[in-house]
Amino acid sequence: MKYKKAWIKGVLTLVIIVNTLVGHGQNFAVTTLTNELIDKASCVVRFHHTEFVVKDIGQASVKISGAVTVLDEKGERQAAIVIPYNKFTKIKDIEAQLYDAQGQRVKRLKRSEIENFSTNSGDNSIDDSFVKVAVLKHTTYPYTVAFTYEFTTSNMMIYPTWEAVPNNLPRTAVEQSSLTVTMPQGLKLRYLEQNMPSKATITEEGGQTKYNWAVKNMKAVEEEPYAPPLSKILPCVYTGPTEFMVEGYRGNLSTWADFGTFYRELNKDRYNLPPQTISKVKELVKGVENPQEKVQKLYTYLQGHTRYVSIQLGLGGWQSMKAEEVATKGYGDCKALTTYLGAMLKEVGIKSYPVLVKAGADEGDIQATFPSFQFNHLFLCVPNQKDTIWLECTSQTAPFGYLGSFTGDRHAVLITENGGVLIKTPSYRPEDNQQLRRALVNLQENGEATIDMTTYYKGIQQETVSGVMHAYGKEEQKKWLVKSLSLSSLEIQKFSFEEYPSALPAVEEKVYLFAKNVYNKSSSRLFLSPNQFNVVSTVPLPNASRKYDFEISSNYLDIDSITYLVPKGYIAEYLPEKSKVVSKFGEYEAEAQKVNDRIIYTRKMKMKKGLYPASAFNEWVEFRKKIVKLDKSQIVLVQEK
Amino acid sequence: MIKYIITFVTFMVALSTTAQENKHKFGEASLEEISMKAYPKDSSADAVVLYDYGETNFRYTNNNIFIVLKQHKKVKILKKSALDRASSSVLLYKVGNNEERVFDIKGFTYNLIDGKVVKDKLSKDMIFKEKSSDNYTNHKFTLPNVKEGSVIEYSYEIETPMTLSHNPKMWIFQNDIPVVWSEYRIDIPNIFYYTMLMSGYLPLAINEKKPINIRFAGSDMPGVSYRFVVENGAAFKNEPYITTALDYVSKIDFELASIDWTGVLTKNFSLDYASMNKTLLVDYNLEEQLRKTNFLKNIAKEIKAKNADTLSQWRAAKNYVFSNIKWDGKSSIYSTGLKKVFDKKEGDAGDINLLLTALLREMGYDANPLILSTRSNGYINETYALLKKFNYLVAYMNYYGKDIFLDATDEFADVGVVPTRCLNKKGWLVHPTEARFVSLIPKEQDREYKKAEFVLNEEGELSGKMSFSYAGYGAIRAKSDLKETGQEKYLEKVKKDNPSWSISKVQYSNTEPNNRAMEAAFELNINEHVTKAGNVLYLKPILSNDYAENPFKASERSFPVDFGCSLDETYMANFEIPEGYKVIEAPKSASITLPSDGGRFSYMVRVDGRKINVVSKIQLKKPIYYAEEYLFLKEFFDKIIEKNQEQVVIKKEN
Repeated sequence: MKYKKAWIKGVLTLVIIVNTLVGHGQNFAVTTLTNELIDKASCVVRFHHTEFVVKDIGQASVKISGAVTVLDEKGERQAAIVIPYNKFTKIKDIEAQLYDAQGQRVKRLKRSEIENFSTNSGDNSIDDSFVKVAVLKHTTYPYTVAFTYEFTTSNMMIYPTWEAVPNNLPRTAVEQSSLTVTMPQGLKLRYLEQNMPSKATITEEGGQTKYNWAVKNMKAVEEEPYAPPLSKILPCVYTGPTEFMVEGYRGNLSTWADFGTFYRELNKDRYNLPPQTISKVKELVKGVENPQEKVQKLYTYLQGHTRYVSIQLGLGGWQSMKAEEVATKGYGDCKALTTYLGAMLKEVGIKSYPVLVKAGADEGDIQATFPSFQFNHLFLCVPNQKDTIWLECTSQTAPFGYLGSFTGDRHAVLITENGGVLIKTPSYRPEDNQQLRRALVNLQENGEATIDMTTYYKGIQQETVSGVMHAYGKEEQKKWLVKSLSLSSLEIQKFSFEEYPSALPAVEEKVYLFAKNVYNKSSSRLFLSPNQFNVVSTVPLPNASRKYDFEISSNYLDIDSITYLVPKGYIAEYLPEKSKVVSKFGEYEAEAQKVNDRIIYTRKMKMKKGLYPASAFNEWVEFRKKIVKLDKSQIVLVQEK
Repeated sequence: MIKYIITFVTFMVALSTTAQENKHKFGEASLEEISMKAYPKDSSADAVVLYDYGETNFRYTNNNIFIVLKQHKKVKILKKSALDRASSSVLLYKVGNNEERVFDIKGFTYNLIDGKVVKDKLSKDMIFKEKSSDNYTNHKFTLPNVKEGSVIEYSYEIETPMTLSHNPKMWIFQNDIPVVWSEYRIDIPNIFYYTMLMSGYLPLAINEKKPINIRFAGSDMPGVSYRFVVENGAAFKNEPYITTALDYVSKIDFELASIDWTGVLTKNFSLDYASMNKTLLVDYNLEEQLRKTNFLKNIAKEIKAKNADTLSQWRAAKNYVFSNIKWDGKSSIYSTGLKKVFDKKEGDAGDINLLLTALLREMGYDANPLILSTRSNGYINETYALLKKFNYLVAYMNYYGKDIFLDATDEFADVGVVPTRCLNKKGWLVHPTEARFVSLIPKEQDREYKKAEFVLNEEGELSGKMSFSYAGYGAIRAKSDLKETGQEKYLEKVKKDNPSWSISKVQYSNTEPNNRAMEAAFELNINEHVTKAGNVLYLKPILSNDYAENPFKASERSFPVDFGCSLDETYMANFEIPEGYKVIEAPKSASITLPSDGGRFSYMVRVDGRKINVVSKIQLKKPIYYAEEYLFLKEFFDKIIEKNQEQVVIKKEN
């Protein structure tokens, strides 16, 4: 009986799908495509419809139907059917057909051709999320893949984000693409339109409210270097619930305050510590009066006794492990470790709040006006009138109080007893991210030299070298130094690192090395490029018809001061002029002076982080070009006659 | 009758048993291990494997033979950077219900707290079973309370049905961190005959072999017990210009040669190359597949009718297969069915090149399959035939004593040569009567010729022409690059690599697949190359930036440098200096050679009035250089860099 039912259901689905396709009256022959759409495209989305139907506060269904014509190899990705799923998702049907250039059907997707993968592979990452993947390919381009699939979801705290260009990929043209959201009576939809050519069409029908967005005939976009990610440039619609339910938890997401209240509810009763830990905590802060010092003691204890393991099981994406469990296992993910430190602080009477953030040096900011689950990370904040303390709990080496490029300078949500509060995390000025380098280069015969160099890195600029210092063994550290110095041929004889942890940490690197081909010598002359260690050599290509704004991603200040000891008997035949270049993007200065048997070279470069208009791009290229040229300038010394 | 074979490749030396015994009981860690602060033999190590023990046995249950591996590993965590080693996993393979299984995952963490050893157990909730894909399941486990100084230990047992794999898993003695003691034991009943292959650069401290009685399938049968130990194995370090790390790491691998189980099963696999050859022809069906090629008759006829000479017929056959059958990017040494591949218009390297072999035969040529191992798949051992070490097939012909290779997966590798990925010493010609090894070391070189013609003005600006010409393996690379990136993006890359060039015209020639050199020619101005100081101009006559850094920076090397093919690069430039100027100083000519004529670099500047002529020539005559030649090679590149930076001083005459 069971078998028969399934069979009937199968037939019904098939009928519906055939109807859908016929209903669109779609002709998959490539000849119907206009040249405009094909231009610079690797694929054309013939149609792509997403229907999100909210049944009630705890359930919804999603139906996606589409057809993609693949024009070349780079377009194949868009014709692949990729469906993420976890225990909240029930995938009902996946149907797909392959058509050739004439629009003749070549084949249907077989059930056996659908593959399942776990979404992670590292040993340190535990997850119960999967993807179903189905790929139909033809042997010659162009070809078209048409598909329909449906699933239900019971994770109603997250509504879809609809992208007008699927996956926000370049080289994808779109004939038509749409999103429909159907809300039942009494439930309100929240949404945010980004770069949409037109606003939502809203209709009421039998108590249901239908929202519809559509785009038509969008040309393929090309990526431009230094542009913001396409997810910020292309049209999309963020949707979100007001009231919802997930795994028996009820919540409301109308405001960040509501968001925080729900998050708190999800993670309450997770702050109990085992008695041994409590006594350990008490012992650690015994006799310590200063609250900041107490925090520091407990943070150090956390760093020394736990490690980070990513655990994303069930609601684990948003629900923390219990502090007790972290205490016995000694590991946890960002939520678990943050909860654990929060629990320890609570034990000694210090209030702290978890902070939700979209972490990552290259991640764009969240949509701050649209409360929803846009985060991927959590850390701890100890509020203080003057000096708020920010604590990254997943790192065993992060300096106390420092956020850096991973979570700094962006919006985040503080989870307080009064709900969520939108805040901005600390940002770092160019002067905060310094690199100060002093070197004494003792030039010897035949282009060789010994170099004694000290470099002091601060703020975001110390992150890489601090990573090298902590994560690498001696051998690897040496390899990194060799690579980062980019000298033509060198041998490191001694090196050391010393760190100065603080809320604005620094690392001092000392290197003593022997190098070849530092300068070039002819029978009477000596050619030397005084800027050996910090050379800007890449320039983006100018583009007069640039479309998108561009980003300079970091604030920094580099100051180099290099002293060359020159072999006796040489006088300067040519010294580059003192130079200074100033622009809205930053400043550059360089100078080489001959003082007795020495040449003293100084270079100062300051860059300002920012989003600049497309029209200023060529100005930036020119600025970089000038620097590249100046960085290459050489000194010519000639033997005294 | 030789019953068992063990090989020691290259530097692997079998020493007699002088090593001290090293026993570690599971569930115990010594105070010495827990209080260890650094590993004296390698102070740079952030962790060290104290003990790695593997034991393989054969088990017969429910009419099934299982290969069972017991592993026990103990690791000392010395620095925070090694904390991730506290998580590990066991990856299991399955096909339908035929699957590998893991038993008894156990583990402990040991810490020294207030002078006492505290032991934490790996509990069930720290083990996660994860379905990685339809064919793989991963059992991940993560040990508790691991911090700097901890000792961790775990053990498990993996059971592999012989119906899923004939062979015990490869045992790797070396790790990316030092290993104090790595021991592998295997007891093999005499009914199984394995080829065992050891490779790598670490010596064996213990190498034992003794006859034993093994309880197997309900009876006692004779067998042999082996024991191998590597003591104080150094951390494995990767180096540039190698085929694949697995070629250099110390390991032991197995392949079933035959089963001789009287009354149950007697079967020969590939004990030697002769029987491997037979396995390929018969079991892998190569012979029969190459007979049933009727469906190619008309195509063969057509190709022959359209192309008169032999070479163009070969080329046409290769191009036919290339353009009609899409390569799926995978490699193999056989085909699942040529007609099927032909109809599906898609296949792996085995499918495609066997089809090409068949087509050539239909055309009347004596083409045969040649199997090999690609560079990323590692070296082939010529003494012992391990079929699974081969992963690729090309078509082969012997034409008047000359080796002709054809590969229809690669558009630009011309008839005669194999693509760069296949440049891996030797391949095996599969043939009913003339099977043998064929050298893959190419006569063809990676050749580049760069030519520059420039006029220099008083402002120090250069204007003129530059052309890059690529031949041999250089042409395969350049043509593929150009096709893959497209002319527009290719030019963008040239511009990005040379920001001071203003290119006004560009022309590509010979970009199609043939045996001619591809050329990219530019007309350009270079305004920021020459330094101008009053009435003096300094010109660096080498305009390209190809040799700014030495590719070999390490001060020593333990593996050979494997380039794949030899190299020949020439740069020639002519400059005309402004009227009224004179060259007052020019770089000296120089030449340097590598020992035993392994290579040569020469650099020459000639000045003739207002004309400067520069020729720089680099030849690396061998595809592979031994580790002993490394320092010479490094010095060779230093010299190239030095000469590349030299400058001509040009002065205005009063």
